[in-house]
Amino acid sequence: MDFDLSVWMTRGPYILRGLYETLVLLAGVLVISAPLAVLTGLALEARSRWLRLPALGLSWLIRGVPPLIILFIAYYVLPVVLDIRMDSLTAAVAGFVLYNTFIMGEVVAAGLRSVPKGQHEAIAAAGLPWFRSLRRIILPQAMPTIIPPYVSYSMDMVKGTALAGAIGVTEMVTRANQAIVATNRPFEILIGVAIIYGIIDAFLIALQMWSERRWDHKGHLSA
Amino acid sequence: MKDTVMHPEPATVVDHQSKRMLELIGLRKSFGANQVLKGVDLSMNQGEVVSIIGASGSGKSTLLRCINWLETPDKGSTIMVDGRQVGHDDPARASRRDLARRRTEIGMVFQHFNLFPNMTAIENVMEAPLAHGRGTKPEIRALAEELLARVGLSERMTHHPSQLSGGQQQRVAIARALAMKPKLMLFDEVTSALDPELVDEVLKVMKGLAEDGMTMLFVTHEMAFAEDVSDRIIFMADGAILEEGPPSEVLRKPRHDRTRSFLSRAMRGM
Repeated sequence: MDFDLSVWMTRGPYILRGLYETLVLLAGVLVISAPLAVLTGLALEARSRWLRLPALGLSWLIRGVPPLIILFIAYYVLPVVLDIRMDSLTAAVAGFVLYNTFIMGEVVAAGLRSVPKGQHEAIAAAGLPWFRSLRRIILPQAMPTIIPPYVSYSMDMVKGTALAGAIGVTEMVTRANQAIVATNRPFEILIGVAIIYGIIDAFLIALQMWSERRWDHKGHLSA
Repeated sequence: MKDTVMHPEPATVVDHQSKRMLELIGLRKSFGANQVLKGVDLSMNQGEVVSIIGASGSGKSTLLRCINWLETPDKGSTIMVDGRQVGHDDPARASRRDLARRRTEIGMVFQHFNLFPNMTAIENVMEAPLAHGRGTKPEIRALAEELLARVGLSERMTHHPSQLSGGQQQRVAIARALAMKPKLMLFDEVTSALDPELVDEVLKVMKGLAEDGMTMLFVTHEMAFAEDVSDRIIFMADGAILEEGPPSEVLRKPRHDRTRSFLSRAMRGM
């Protein structure tokens, strides 16, 4: 079997245009989910059961449903049931945001739990305000616990963007499939697409390494 | 007018001596069915230094932690600091905002320091006054520098806790508690987690504070230190005060067998 990369000369631009959808999905989901995940994590760890129990229930429900089903619901069911109509890319962003908010929310909750009890006592004993302490003391200490799984789930998300093809988002894998059908060159096209995913993931890993240094308070990475 | 000219000194001394800084009335605390404090009454005057001793499980740390409501006292307990109640007889009616305000009057130093690891020494000291708006940033920085100098850490102000020894961390923690200019300081076994050679530097700082007239309540295992700085020693057993008095009496001539047997173990080698 010959290996002919010239297929990327003819079909490459078409496939790469799918990067736009992939990156919009990824950026949209990561940027919108991040603050929502912090709120979810706080609700999951809240003292008040009126916050905690609904958050636990929703988290159990949303994380239990395959993301593909969530996308189908966002795109096919919401218009019928609630008359909410979205184009396929918006529906995909909404569906993934919902799913990721609770996945990442659990990560944030685990991070909050990792902060030693003594820190909360020192904050209480000094009468420090809740929000200020959350921002300046608790979250910075939770970050080293949050970052690695957060980036892992983000890398899953990068690959998961391909699911959006199922509701008609012409992201990169969908376009690659079309190109394969047209050229009968699956090997070259799929290897190329895999490399592009690898490059996106490399950015995320670089981000992880940077942020792990940024939030390293114990000094074992900065040496 | 005539009186103040004639007797200015005694008047101020008497006033200073008699001012109630802490008063506990019927302090009870239970964890489930386990009653840890069984109705403790205790009062301290301004400038007084009191040490609480006793076996582990006697309730001495819980007593300390109830004063600033780190542990919520049982219903019906009254805690007064500087003549005003902290929290409420009925815990359900204690306001969180009011508690936060009252806690700024009560400095607390912990066994495990509990410094904020993501902040430098001086940032740790500045955090509470900044959060409570106790002045401009330069003013608060100057105050923090002064306090760190006082605990002998002028050279370590921009170090993070992980770069400091245990003794240094505990001294930063003391400076942090002092930054709110508290009326009362609580010390919960503050040298128990330290290597023996680091204990003295912390004790020295606390002794300096006592000499400056700070009202201080210690829970401690350092009997020699307790004897040295305390005006009064309290021996606790089973959630109650069993014996109290000047160090020369409680430590040297204890009246109760339990105090005696505790001391014979605790003061071995003294």
